[in-house]
Amino acid sequence: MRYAVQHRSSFDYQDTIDLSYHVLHLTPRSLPWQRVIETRIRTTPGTPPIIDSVDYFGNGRSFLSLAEPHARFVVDMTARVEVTAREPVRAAATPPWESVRDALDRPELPADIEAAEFVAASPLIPGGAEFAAYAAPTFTPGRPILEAALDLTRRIHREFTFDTEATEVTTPLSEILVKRRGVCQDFAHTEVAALRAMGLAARYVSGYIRTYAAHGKARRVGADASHAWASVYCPGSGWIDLDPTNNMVVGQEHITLAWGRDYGDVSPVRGVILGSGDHRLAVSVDVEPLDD
Amino acid sequence: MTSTQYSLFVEAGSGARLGEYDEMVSGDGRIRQPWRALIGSLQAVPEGVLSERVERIYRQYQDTALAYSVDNDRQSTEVRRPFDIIPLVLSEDEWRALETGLAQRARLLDRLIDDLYGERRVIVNGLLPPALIYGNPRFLRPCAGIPAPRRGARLHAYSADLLRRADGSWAVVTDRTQAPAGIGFALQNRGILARTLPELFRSQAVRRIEPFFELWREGLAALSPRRDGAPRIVVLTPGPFNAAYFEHVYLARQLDATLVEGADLTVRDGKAYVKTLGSLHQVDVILRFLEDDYCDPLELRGNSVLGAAGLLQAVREGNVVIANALGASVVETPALREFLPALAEALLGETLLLPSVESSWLGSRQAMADLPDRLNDAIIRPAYATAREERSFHALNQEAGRNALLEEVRARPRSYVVEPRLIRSVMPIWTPGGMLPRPLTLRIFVAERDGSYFAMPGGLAQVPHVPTSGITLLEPVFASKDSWILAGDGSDATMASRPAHGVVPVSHAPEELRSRSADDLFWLGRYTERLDNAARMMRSALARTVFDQIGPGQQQELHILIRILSEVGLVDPQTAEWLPDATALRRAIVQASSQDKKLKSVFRAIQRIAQSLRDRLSNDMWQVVVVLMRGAQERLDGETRDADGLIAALDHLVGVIAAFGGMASENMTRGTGWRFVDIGRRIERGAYGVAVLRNILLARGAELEIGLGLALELFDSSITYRSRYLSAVQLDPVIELVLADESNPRGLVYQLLMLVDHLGALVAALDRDSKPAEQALVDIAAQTLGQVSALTQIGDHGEMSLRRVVDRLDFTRDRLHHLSDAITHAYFSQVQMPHAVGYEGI
Repeated sequence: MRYAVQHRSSFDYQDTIDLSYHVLHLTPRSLPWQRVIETRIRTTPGTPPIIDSVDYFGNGRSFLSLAEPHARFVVDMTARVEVTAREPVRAAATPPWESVRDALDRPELPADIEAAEFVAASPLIPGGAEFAAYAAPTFTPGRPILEAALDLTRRIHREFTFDTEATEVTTPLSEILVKRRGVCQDFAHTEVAALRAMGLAARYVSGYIRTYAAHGKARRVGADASHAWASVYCPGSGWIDLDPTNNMVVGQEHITLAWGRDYGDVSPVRGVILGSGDHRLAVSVDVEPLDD
Repeated sequence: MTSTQYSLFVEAGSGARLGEYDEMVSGDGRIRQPWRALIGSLQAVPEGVLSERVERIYRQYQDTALAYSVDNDRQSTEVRRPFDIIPLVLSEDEWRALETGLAQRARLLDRLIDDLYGERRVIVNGLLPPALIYGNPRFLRPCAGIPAPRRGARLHAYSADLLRRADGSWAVVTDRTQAPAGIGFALQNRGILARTLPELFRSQAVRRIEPFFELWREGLAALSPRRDGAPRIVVLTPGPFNAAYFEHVYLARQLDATLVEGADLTVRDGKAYVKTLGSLHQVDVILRFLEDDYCDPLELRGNSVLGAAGLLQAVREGNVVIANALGASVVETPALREFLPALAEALLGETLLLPSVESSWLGSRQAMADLPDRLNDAIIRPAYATAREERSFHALNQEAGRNALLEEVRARPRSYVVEPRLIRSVMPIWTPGGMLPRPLTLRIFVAERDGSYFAMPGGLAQVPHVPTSGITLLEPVFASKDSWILAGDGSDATMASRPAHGVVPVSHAPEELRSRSADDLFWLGRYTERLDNAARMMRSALARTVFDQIGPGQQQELHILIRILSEVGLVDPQTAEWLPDATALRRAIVQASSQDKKLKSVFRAIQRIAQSLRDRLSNDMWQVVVVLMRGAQERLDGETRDADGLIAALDHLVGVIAAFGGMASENMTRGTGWRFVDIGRRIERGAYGVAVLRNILLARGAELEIGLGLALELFDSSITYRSRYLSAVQLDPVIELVLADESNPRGLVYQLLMLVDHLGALVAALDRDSKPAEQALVDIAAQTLGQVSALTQIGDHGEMSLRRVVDRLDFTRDRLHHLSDAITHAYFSQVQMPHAVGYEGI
């Protein structure tokens, strides 16, 4: 499936800003199942040179700074990508979750060593006993890891309410677990936290989901904004992406931008301005299927 | 510890208990060889003299501490580091082994940092458990992939805390890779001892420490990514609210580097610059005393206002080198210690020379299993805490108790380390009653030049200041000491170290003025002048309330004074209702001075500004602005009842401010810095003059006549008037004198003349192509000057229109306001606060 993606972030400042800096995680990753046909970032004003590099997690990172007075700053990302189906993994055939936990605790295989990084707590997912308690009913003894993870995804989808007003980016995750409300990012963080609380490796993935539903299907939640989901490490199968907001295994409807330990590693647009901090941010996302 | 005591100057046996090593006295009760000459010299100093010298040192220390406490109302950042006169003495042989061991350790840690931010082979090859690094919040992932400096190392300045075990061998307790904290204090300690007790250095050759700083500076310069020209090196400090700010000032001097805060830096086009008045100057090397995650709010700790946005990107692009490299603090964790021997074999192919104290990371199952057995004589430490966080951890544990601690450790074993209760060696401290043994921690500093490491010959010896047992991990207050390395034949020793600096360093040669400092100097001028004006007015008012009955003339003067005082917010406008009750009126004015927030806030503002200008003010200036000013404030606070006493306190304050003014005009170089102080003073004095005159000229008849006398008093011009006019007080000559006389330094025209002169000189000094905003300032001042000068001619024409004068005064007041804003905009607008922007959630 091929998509045309447009993602616009517009900052309107109350006062004129003389100097601003931005770090972007806005370039879709090239992956075995995702071919990036073209991708481009433009800004208004268009003067700053954009300096691209690859971050610690292998994501594309762009740096730009603007040293001229401006009251408005717009970042436009456009891309065309092709997403192909991933090899389906039979949940029942994945190893028991305890064996994965133990392998990650004292990792020896290179893949396990690499994955072990995503067991540790991270700034926005500090962990805590309450997440283990939340996950416990799902992680019954000997249950295959993917089966348990799918159940967890299902539970979060069922037990949490999608609510754009309930949380902010600064709301602590423990509070979200109590409220059981939030946006894609909160759903994804909760799932990652629960998996890590069981000693498993989980990462946070930032991206998009197709805006227009396929024929005869409902429109997906989170389609008109940036989207986010979780990914769990299954030895032998690699990383498997799960979308708790839509209760689904990530497939051809998702476009991957970047992944990290949590949102803080891959925030699409992060900036510092010098001057008065009052600003409004408007975001619009459009993911159009080209093949329908 | 008091079972045996050192007694003064005799070989009285060891102060050590069983299992402790005594630095000074050997097992058979004899003073160790390296200490003999020192003890001999101490014996030769008459006891009274020694006490007196020690007293002097304490006084100096106290002055410094006072000078560095920010103010009484806020949390104090006072530096209290008592100094002890007895240095630690080490032989050259022993030192050589320590230096070699620490240099190797520095190389090892540098290689490890290199690997962790690069290929992470130590993890892939199983030399380090992944969780030990991945769970460490000091592993700063945005710093990965940045190459090491072309010349030099990521770990540029390393220090370690060591202790000596019972068998006489040394072990490392703490590795410090963030910044060489304490090195400025070590430098200061040597200076103090060499100045106060020079005779101690005469009997033997002690290695000098200055050559270390010269080498270090070369090493810093070598880090510069630029090949051409002299590199610009800056020392980055968290600022005056940091407890160690003093040593940053001190060290910057010694290294001949500019001291900057994050707000002084800016990143443009991937290069780092220091913001100065005229322009931006590119920075090549940053020696940071700021924790690495605070250095860049864009990519590291988002809420940091201490760093500079984009700094990491400038490093990434190779345009500036930060020492130590951002992220270097990842290897400070005590969890690493048990892995160092194997890492030394793997990364260096060498055996680790200097051991660490034995400890275990609780992330390993074995260590957790062994924990219950060890706990009686062991201590649990957080694995990833900063020193500050560790202190609060231990304090919390004392409250919460052992069970709570164990529960926490079981929940998060990977965040903790267990180590045995440490037994340190003892060394003497001096007390008036004799020497007493204290447990010793020695911090040694290592720096790098062109990839090789060398140690400062000496270090920061620390002992608990108050008697406590020698085995607790963290002591509340430390006394620090000088440390001596005895020189072998022909080394770079000298008998006494050259006391390069006093307790507080002397001011630096003038250089480019940082924008932030210019702003501070401007406000220093304004606030001191504001204080002066307030003191003078209050003094005049109080002088008229000394007798219980206030005469009618004085009542009218008081009406005017209260009007002006209430206009600037010093007294309530209703105060005038107390007239003619002198006692009540006095009480109201006394209250204004003792409790009034306005006056206090001016004092506080001056203290705050002085702190942030610390490295720009000379020692003498510092004494006036901080120490004397605080004394004057305390005296004012103390005089709450008595008008006489209060008048004397106000006299004193006016004197202190006069000392500041005198020093500013006599001792400050006539550079841009001085001009900003004076611009501030002139604007403030001008505005004050306008306020006084307006209120007087608005009066009519008898009150006006009385007011004119008051004007002369408040403009400090009575004597001039009498000698010049030999007549009763009349309108025209008074106006001429306080307003338009170009030679009266308190008159209004004089302030405007000076402003025109200063602003013109600043434009000329600016190294910039286009300066329309700055030129406009000169025009504003000149235009205002023209308006005020013209006022004398009104008088000459006979029919003096008071209304017109008042109009001109209003105009002048508005222009002065405008000028202040415009100066801020033209010169200080680079001083802005950073704010984070970004997504609110997706």
